Amino acid sequence: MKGSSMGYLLKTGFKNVYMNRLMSFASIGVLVACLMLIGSAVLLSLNMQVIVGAVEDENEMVAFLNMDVSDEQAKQIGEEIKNIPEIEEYYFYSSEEAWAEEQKKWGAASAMVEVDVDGNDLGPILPDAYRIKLKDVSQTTLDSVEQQLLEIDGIDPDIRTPSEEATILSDLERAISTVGGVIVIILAVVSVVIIANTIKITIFSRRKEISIMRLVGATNTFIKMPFIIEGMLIGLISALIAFGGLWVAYNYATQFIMTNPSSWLEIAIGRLINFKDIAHYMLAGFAIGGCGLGIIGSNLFIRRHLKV
Amino acid sequence: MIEFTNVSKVYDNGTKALNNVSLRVDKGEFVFVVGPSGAGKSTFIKLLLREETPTKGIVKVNGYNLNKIKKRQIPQFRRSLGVVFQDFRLIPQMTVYDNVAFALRVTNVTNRSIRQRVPYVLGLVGLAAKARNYPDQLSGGEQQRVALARALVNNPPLLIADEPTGNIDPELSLEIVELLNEINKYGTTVVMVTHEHELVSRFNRRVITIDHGSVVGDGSLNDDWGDFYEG
Repeated sequence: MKGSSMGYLLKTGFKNVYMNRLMSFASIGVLVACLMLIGSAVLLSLNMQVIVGAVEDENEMVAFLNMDVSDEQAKQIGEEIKNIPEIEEYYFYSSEEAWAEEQKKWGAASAMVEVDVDGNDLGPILPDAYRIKLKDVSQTTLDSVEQQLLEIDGIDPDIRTPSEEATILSDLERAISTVGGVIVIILAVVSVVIIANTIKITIFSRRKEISIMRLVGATNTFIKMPFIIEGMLIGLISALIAFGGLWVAYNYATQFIMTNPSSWLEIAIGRLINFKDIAHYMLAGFAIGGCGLGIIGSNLFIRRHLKV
Repeated sequence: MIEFTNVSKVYDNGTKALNNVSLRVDKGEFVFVVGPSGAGKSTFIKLLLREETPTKGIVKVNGYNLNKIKKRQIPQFRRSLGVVFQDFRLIPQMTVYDNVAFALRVTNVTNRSIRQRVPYVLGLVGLAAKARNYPDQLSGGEQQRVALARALVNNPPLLIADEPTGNIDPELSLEIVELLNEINKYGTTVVMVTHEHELVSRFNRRVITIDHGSVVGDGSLNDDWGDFYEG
């Protein structure tokens, strides 16, 4: 295709959007809503992952061993823990290490419990333990691992599990991705249909031109091109609007969270994703998504309405 | 140039439009195709343009076998034809210049050749001064000349005119046919479909008469066509 005809096709595509501006406006509106929702879902999900990761880092399962368990038995228990599939890693946390950490935490105060009132050494008062990191912190995994740990001989039934927050967060994240995904699919379908109708109206209003184009020997590609460009343009404009809108909204939202921190969000605040860091991915994603939906929309009717 | 061999056309609804038509138009000829409405003239044109395919028989135009032509070759084939219609089929939102240039633009012609070719063709049909006007500012005869310019701008070897004078005042109709005559002198083959007896009688040209889907006469007007109409 020569440069001059490319220029003509582009010009016609732009003109189509303008001539049909009411429908173009409707398509752009729906597409912007769709893209912004997709973007919000992505941002929310990314941030949730970060927060869940933060919470997970702070939490691990701790299985205390009974006080009477020998070193040999402890090793045996370690082997059995290894066999639990949901466990990512685990390590032995001896009574001495626990004691050292307690001392560090409490300082001088801890020295007092080392001996009884008469000054006799009480021996180890903290049990040995296994610290266990899980592959995820969903409730089902927690329950299943706890169940399996309880079956092992020598483990204290009072197993410390990660705090509720991580579980809630990870469930929430999953719920958001599922609901978000469904909404996004519905909106994508709606925008394709609206774009398709917009293009249909353009095709209808230009049918005389199209019939003449066919008579003078324009190829099918040439006849279709302005309508595909129209769809692409609607997609691109929507992508830019959605991108700008999301940037502003996201910055506003993070600002709000930072100035009104709730307790469990505190750990996450430093980790929230900065929009600037992912802006180019977002823009690329939006542009591809917008153009893609536009092209699909325009192709939907072109096939049926532009026969040779 | 045009070759119909035992061509029949039956539409899906059962209408028999053409029945075993064989005819031949050679390069450089000027042919009138006449007959009453419903005779099959429109079908004849549609077959020529490859808007329809024959039910039986072979249609060859400009060296293309239209029975075997592939879909993606159709645009290429149509570029070898110029067509004008009774209703002009101009785009009202475009100027005269753009209407003519349109035929070149959609066929990948460079802007440079468009700027050379369009004024030349408009001059040929005598409308150079009206290039910036819109179709609704022109008379019927002028509009048809714009359509003629558009048909000729590709420099096609074959020009097909489907009732080109149907919407034009009689005195201007003559002008159009004279223009076609002029174009024919430059070597372009012209096929003009019409039912205007008066007009055909002014030119001593080959006349193909179609009625009830068959060719009932082929020769100069003075042979048999007049009788056919008056009878």
